[in-house]
Amino acid sequence: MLEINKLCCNLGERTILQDVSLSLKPGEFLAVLGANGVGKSTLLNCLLGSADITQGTLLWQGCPLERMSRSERARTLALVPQQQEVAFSFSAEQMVLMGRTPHLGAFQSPSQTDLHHARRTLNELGAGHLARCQFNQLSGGERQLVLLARAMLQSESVLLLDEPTNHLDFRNRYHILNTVKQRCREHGTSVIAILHDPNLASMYADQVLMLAQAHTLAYGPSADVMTSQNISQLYGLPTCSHRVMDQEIFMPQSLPPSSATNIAIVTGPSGSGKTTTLMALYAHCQQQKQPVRGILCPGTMRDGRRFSSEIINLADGQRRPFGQRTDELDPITNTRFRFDPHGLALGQQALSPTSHHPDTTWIMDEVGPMELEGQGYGSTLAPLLALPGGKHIWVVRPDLVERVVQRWQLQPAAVIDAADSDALTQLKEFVAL
Amino acid sequence: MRALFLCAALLCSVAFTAAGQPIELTDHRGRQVSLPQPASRIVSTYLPSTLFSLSLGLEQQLVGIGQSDRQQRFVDQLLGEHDPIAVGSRTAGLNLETIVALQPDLVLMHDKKDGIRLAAMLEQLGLAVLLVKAETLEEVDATLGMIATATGRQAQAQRVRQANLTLRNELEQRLQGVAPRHRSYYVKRDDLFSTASGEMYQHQMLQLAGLTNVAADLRGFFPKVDAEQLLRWQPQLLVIEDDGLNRPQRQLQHAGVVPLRQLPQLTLPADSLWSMPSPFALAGAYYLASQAYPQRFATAQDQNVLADYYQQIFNRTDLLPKALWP
Amino acid sequence: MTTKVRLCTLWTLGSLLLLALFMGRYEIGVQAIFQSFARLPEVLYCLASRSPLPEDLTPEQQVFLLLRLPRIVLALLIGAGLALSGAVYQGVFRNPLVSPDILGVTSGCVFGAALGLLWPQGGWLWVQACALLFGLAAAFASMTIAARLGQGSLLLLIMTGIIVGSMFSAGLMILKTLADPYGELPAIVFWLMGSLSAASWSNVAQVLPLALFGYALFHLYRYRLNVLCLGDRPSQSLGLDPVKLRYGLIAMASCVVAACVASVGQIAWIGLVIPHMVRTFTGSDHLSLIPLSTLFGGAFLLLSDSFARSAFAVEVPVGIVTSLIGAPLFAYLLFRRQSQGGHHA
Repeated sequence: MLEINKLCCNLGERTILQDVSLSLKPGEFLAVLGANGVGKSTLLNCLLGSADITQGTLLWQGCPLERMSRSERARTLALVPQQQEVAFSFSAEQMVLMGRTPHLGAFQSPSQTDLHHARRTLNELGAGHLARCQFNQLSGGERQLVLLARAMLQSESVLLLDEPTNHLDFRNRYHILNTVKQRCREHGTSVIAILHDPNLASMYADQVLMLAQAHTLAYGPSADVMTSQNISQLYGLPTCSHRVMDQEIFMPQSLPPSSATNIAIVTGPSGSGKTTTLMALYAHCQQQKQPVRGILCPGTMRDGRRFSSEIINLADGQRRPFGQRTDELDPITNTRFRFDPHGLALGQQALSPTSHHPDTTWIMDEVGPMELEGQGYGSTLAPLLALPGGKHIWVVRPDLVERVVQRWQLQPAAVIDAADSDALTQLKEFVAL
Repeated sequence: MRALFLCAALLCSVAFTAAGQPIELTDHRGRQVSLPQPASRIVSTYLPSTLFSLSLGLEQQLVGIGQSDRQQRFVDQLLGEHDPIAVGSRTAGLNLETIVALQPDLVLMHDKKDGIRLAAMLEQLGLAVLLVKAETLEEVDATLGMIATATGRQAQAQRVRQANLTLRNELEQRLQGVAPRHRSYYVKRDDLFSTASGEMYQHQMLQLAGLTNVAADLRGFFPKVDAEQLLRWQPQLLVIEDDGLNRPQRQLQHAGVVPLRQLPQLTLPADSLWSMPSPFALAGAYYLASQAYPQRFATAQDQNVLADYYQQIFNRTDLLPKALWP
Repeated sequence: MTTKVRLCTLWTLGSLLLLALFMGRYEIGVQAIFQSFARLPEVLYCLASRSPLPEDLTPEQQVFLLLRLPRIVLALLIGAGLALSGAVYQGVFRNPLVSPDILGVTSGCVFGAALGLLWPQGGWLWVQACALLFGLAAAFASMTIAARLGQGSLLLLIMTGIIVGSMFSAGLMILKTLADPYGELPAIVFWLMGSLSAASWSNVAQVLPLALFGYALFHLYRYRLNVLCLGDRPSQSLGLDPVKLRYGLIAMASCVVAACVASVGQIAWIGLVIPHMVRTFTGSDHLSLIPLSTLFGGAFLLLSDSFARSAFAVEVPVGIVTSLIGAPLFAYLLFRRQSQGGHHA
């Protein structure tokens, strides 16, 4: 059994992994999902011993990995690396044969028996005909098979797959993963695979680890973790799921050309009455018994500038002080506002999709630079957009409208200037649609 | 100093004239070399030792010479029909098997580290090797004596010495009382800005010719100087080694060395071999002196003096540089 | 390695060796050569114990035993050593265009030799010691700087090699300007061109131990070299310590190169092209590449040097011969390979 406890890994000042824990039983398949550059490969490097661990423990059957010798470790953990050209051309069977390296002494070369093993492994993968071919001349799928065969020859315990489906065509993608899965079942091999396609993960994995910004976003059995909400949040892309033949299929919500225009953007310069208009809309909706969720942040103005603001949870009308202008630039939020922690928590709660109803209108006041960077309430937005049947009204500064539209791949039904005299009418129409 | 060497050489030559006795020699590096009789098959591995052999009239005894020695008109003319085998060069290496196959009874080798090593190897094969060093006229004299003794050419060595003595006396006599001496700048054959330092033979040659070397304080071999330094020295004449390609003359056309362009230029003729130490190198000093102080030398007589000098050493005068030979 | 390849190799080598024994400017008959071999142990013993050589050696025997044979042996050794370390360097750097002077070893050696020649004291041994010392210093310097800067990145190693190499080249330039053009300069040029013309048994004794030890080590590690070719991450996942292994192999290969260059000067082409040539017809597997490169390197330099010493009365610089023979041969191999539809690494 492979166990990772509170693994932390820093590269210089940068935190690559923070408190990542997991455990893997024999025969289990763990998929690691996450956006590019969140430390998935580093996780594998930590296991392989090529990245230094800052904190935490890695255990194989109760024994710390760092206490094992290099070859012992290599006999336990076998890597299927991302494909790359080898500087010198080796034949496929020579490549597979190298999987025996950790089983050989320092001065030893592989024997005839080793060669037989290598050929047999290739045959098992249905790639026996490739044995004499030059590795560099193989196609992507064939190479992946050869590298997989090498890893299988190397270890029966744990396979580490680094993006094994890259560059593979539709058929080969499934062929490789089927082979791996079969290996899990028949030999009790544990697998950790970095995957980029959530659908493949939900098809093959027993467990899923989602990494976001060095942290674990979600970890657990595939069925629990693989929700459109988690995936939307993980990739920052509104994703919905459809059930096809007993299988959840995840898809981005707005695929071009899509006609789903369930969002309106309210814009206008500071002090143009965006929040005021929305407050009026909120009152109107409550009168009409139309469900409204989300947050509004009315502010007090001083010297023509927003001085402080409150936050309102539209679900229950609860209010809290939110932002307070200070003279210093906050290095974290990069604004001149200091935010109240209780206010922040209130917003977080207001924006969680728990009390969703298909007719709900979600108001988000407002989507600013922080959200665009994935901070603030940024990570909550994609899951909200992914909710079925909702309507969304976002407040955005005029200069950010284009970036917001691009970031969440929006196709807004209307971009409404709050200074327009009929702004409220337009919004009412949008809500009533 | 010179007298001392002369005496030593004379003693040597007297001591071993008795035939039948082995010839015992000590070369520059203190190596003892013994020859059963005067050498009659000689391999000379580089140009200076070839020049010594030729000065001693050993044309017919040379069985092997340096790879490019024969490219010198002087060497080619003296060897004539006789064609010694080329045995290699210092840069590309000497072919030891070729040398041994020539069955020489004397090999002449330079005395640098690579030469010492090769000498040891050849000695192991039973060959007699003399290390030759001739970087000043004094060393030239001692070396001449040594090779003469090894080859039984003491009489010829004596003639060469006599010729040198005569020429030297003549030169000193003519230059007597010349003051102030011309300040001269020596130009290497392919570069105006490379000159002869106080350590080099060329410096000695200038001194003998009654010229002051402006670069006498420099050290090293053909040190590079820059144009400003050259102008600061204010030389009164340029002594140029000629190689027929005239590079220094072209460099003089460049701006920046304008004041040098007007200076008188004395050229050492390309085929003279006077810019390197050899038994007949004194001719170079005499020639330069006659060009630098023409009022002290009558031109016609000056040519005759050099012709006499060559006549005495080589028994012919057509070896003089063509430039002097109408 | 198939039996056919093995036979072919042995046949080529044997006939070359035989040819080399009979080639030379000094005529030595077949009988004299056989008689000489009978005297070889005796002569070697005398040389080793610094006692005088036997008096009764004929001139043929002397020339054969003291000039020709050591030269043949040295040619084999140097060629083998350079090609062997070339193969190791190329494997370690995962680059077929790398030659053994990539870490500045050769520049260091030549600089050291020039320094030794210009130094007023000391003899030829001193010159060789200087060459060896500076060659090793160059390799050591490039490796230490690279190790200090980053965890053994290949690119960094190549860069520091270039830096160190150019430092020594600059030093050599300075020494060349200081050298007497009629005194030491020709000897320095002799080093730069490389020549076996002054080969002796003492040269053989200097190169042999390092070459043998180097070969033994590389032979033992030749499978690991295969794995190292895959790259750092894969070889690490296969249980190797790529950085340590790399440094160890490079250090040993540098020692071999330094010993070779310190004894005969810089001989180009062999270290770069022989492993490449061998690779075109046996593939990149170091299991056969290491022994075959060694054999062919030795054979190739022997062939070139035999030509260099016996084609003309004068020596032909061996570097010219290696290129003149090697370039067309290599082109032919590539061409044959291409027309067979084969693939070249």
